[in-house]
Amino acid sequence: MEVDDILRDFEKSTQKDQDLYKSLTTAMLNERMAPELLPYQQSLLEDVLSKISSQQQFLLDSHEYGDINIDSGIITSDFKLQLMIIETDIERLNYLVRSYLRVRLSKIDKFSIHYIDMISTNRDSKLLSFEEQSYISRHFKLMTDLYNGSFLKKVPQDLAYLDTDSGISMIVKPEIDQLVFIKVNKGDIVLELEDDDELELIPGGIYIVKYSLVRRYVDIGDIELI
Amino acid sequence: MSIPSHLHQNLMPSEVNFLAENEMIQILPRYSMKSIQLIGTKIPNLRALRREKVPIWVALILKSQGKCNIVPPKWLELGYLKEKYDEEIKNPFKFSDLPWHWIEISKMLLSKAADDLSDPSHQLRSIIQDLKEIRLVKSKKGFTELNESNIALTGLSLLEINEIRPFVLGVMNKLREIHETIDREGEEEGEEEDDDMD
Repeated sequence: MEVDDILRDFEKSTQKDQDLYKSLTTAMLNERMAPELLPYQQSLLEDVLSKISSQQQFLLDSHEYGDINIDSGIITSDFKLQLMIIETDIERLNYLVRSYLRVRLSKIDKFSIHYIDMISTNRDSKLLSFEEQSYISRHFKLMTDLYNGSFLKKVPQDLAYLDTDSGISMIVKPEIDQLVFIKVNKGDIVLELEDDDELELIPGGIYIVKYSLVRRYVDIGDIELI
Repeated sequence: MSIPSHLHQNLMPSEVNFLAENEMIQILPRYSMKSIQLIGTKIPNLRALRREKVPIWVALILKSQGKCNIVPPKWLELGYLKEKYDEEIKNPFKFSDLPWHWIEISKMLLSKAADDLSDPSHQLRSIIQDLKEIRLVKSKKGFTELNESNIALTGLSLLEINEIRPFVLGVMNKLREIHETIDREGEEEGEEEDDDMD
């Protein structure tokens, strides 16, 4: 009985690990394809990063073990092959994480004033990670200093605002009406289009629709961006 | 720049390939190997001649070392693909149902594990090319249907989507912008008329 339990736990943990890979891929693709910044996947990223670093430690230890025992004949080519596979696995996950963070940074750069406004009105929002928050304010300060120092002080005062103070909005906002490719995971989603039209999405279907129509389904995972 | 702008809302073909490599595939190990706990998945204990499922990227590493044979997926077979080709011809407005990563997986297997496939690789290559072309013609024909609000493309695989994405999204976004200006002008005109009425 106990053995069964252990086995079952084990199955579950492998299942969870596979989900980890999948959720990271989905998070990366969603972020890549969405016109706006999506909430930061705090727990997922923490999980992945801690697993990567413990696996890296394991790899280091194994290399050390291999170096010590190199003459004893314990080290087979199999052992090296296994280490190579583990290393590849780490690199592949690293790539996904990097790609996820980079596309977020590019959006933060592009819409920095917009998101600064957003986090200042909603302090405990989950939109940005802690590091991203300090990045965005530093980036904003550097950019405004640069703009002011190089040309804004020379243009007429009422044209020199970077925000909405002059009555004209100078803030670059993400265009949420942009069209995106989506893949439907769960059924029974009916999108309401303009002119009272409706679009019924079938599970597994692939569509191009406006991002603003599907953003809440992307949030709960019923729809993936591709 | 943290990411090149042409990659925003688009993928490189190599990235699509990367995603395809995460799919699982059956292998037939030639030697035994102890199980490995990876972060993303777990490679089970491999025993000679007992089929196991592993991610494709692992299968390709093992294959390149001569440690296993790859069991080709059941759709990567001449008869099946011919059937799909006929289906494509019969239904001019529908894409036949092929795996999400069929082009990438078949390309990987054809170039790295051609000896494990059940049919001669030149025949497979040619039927895959035919299928690819007929599907591309179909999606290009569909370009005349592009509109500003929505379109269904069920059946296309990720690589095929990626191929048409820049053009399709560009056109549809432009149409949407035009559409929005029309709407706005219409509203403004309406308001003006109201003013006249007063």
